[in-house]
Amino acid sequence: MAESIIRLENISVALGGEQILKNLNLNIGDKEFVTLLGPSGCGKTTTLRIIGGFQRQDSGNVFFANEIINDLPPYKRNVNTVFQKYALFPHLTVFGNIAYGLRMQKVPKEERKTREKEIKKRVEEMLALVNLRGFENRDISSLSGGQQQRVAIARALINKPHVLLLDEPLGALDLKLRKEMQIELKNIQIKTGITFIYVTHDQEEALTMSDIVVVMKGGEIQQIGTPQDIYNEPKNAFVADFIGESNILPGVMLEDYRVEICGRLFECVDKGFEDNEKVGVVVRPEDIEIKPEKEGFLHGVVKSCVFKGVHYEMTVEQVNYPYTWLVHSTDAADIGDRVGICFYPNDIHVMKGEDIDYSVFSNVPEEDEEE
Amino acid sequence: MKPLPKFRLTRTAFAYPYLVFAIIFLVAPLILVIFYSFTRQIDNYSVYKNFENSPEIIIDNLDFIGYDEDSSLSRIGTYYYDGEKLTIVNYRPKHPETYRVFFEDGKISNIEEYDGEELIAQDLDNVKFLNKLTGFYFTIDNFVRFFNNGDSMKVFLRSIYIAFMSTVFCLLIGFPTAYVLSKMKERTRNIVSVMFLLPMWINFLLRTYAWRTLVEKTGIINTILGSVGLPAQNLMYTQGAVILVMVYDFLPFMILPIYNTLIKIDRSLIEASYDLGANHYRTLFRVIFPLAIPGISSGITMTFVPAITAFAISKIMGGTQCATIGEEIERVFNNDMWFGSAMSVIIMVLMLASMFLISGKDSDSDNIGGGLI
Repeated sequence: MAESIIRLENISVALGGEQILKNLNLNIGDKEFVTLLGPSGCGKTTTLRIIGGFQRQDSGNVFFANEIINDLPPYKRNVNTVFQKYALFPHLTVFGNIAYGLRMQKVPKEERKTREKEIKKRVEEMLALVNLRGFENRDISSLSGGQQQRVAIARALINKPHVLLLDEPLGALDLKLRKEMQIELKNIQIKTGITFIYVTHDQEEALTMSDIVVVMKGGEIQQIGTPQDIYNEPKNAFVADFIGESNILPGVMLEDYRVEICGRLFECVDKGFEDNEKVGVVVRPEDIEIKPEKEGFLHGVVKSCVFKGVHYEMTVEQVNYPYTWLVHSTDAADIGDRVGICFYPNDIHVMKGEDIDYSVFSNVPEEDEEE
Repeated sequence: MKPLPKFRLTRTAFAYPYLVFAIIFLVAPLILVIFYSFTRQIDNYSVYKNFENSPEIIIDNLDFIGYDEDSSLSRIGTYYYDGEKLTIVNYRPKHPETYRVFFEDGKISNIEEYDGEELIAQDLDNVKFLNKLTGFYFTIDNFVRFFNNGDSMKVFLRSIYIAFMSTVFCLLIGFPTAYVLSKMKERTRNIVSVMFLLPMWINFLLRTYAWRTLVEKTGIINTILGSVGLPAQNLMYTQGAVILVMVYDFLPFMILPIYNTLIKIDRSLIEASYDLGANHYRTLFRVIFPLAIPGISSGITMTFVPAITAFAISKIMGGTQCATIGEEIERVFNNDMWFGSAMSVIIMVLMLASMFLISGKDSDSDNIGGGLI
């Protein structure tokens, strides 16, 4: 991990009698793209607000480059924020909005004369960075959502902050624009070398852009890791379920590399569990192959088959075992067909299974939640 | 014959009586006032004389020819003579003066003021009254008279000054109050805003008289000053006293609209300002104040408009020294409703203009941007 720029130490916050953050510890490295990912109300926005200085923690410390900044007001922190609904100043033009941060800086008297010129130059640079050249004199209300988003980013970046906080900045955009902006944001982050702390509830967004993903739930961090780690080696059932759709089953680890699921023995690549330990097993739907009945390890009846563009999304009810598999396959199957289910040792992800409540997982794809 | 349109008792049909009501009771007086302001009454007198006897007649005061005290323009009004009778138009009986009308070859050659000897009764024998005609004619005389008259202009400018100062003080007190109010917790906020509204439940004349007892020469303030050994202050019947009571009376009208816009300002905008390096002071002036402009402008309208037309306050607190245009209109209207109407139309135009100016600023504020402040 790169040199630490922001460090949260034992942060706890309660709002209105509800514990929002519970003893949170987080270390964010310089020049990283870190995403805080979690469902609504998991405390990710609160974490961001604590870093930004808009929310005071009840206990714990916030470090910025190894200095405690607990008592520093937001306007003295070298951190800028892109707000959820952009929070652009409606009484200012695009230029006025972007230049706002510069105008707030204290300038020695000698430089005042050349200041306006410099502001103009810097704003133009920023507009170029976010692809909004020529929009200087436009009204905020005349911009589309995507353009407003860009203005918000330019406004936050103009003071050259060490850290940029982004609070679900793409939440209000349509899917296509969101995808474009994801790539653009990532490019801006690489170009400027600024640490991005990004809050989202969209797992795909998190995986696409981040260097590090922090999965949160109920005010606690569930897992910190690279997108690959998080996706492939979820630490618990919550992470597995939240990051992409999955089949999560109870299993028993008979010994290293051997796990029992659905009453059958499978080979796997995990080790380090106790013998006969109860575990949770994750199999991603896209890793499952649908084969003719005889060739599969497990057998089932196709209950539904929906065309999703890239693949068919199928649910397959297993024969002789009460579980319905979620399968993403490029081959279609008819409803009612008996098929074989097949997956490989590499695709079986074993995790600690103490407190898995299997009843909460369903194979119905979740709708995007709005916060 | 065409069949009458069928009347259907729909829900909107119940609105029509109100529409009629609105037209009669709101629009009609307005139209009437505007009509009056552009007209004057005609009093036409026709007199004729036996021209053969003398080349001139003297028309006596009282009954026919008058002039405006304050205007040299319509000294005698217009007159015409058709060879037999002399008709004098636009004549005002309340301000009498005597004129001498000269004839030459049976036609009027000149009319001039008569300040010679007393009239001889027999001269009047030559003059006979004909019919008295009344009616109206369109003119802008009322307005011309207003602007040419030093006294009414003085009163007019004084009212604008008093209303302006009251509005400024209301804004200076009202904005910080509204700001503090908007920052309070909801419970305290409700209690405090009720305290601001409480005086409005008392009749405002009573409130004004209450101030009088405070400010009077033998009033409470002077009593207290006297008991401490300080000289009594002459506070009553000054412009200051009028402005003080106006500020007191109209302050809630300034606070409430500003307060309403302030509590609606998106919290994240203020946070964004802090985030970008603006401290509390700068955020107040760069973000909160510009965003509160709609409230400020409606607050200004709601204090300036009643302040400029108020006449009770200036009458009670200012006496004759600080007569405002409202008082002046009230006084003039009894004698000369055409002139009074013109004065109120001038005030109306002024208020419309100021409102237009304020609301124009308001909608512009989106475009002007950073240059505004």
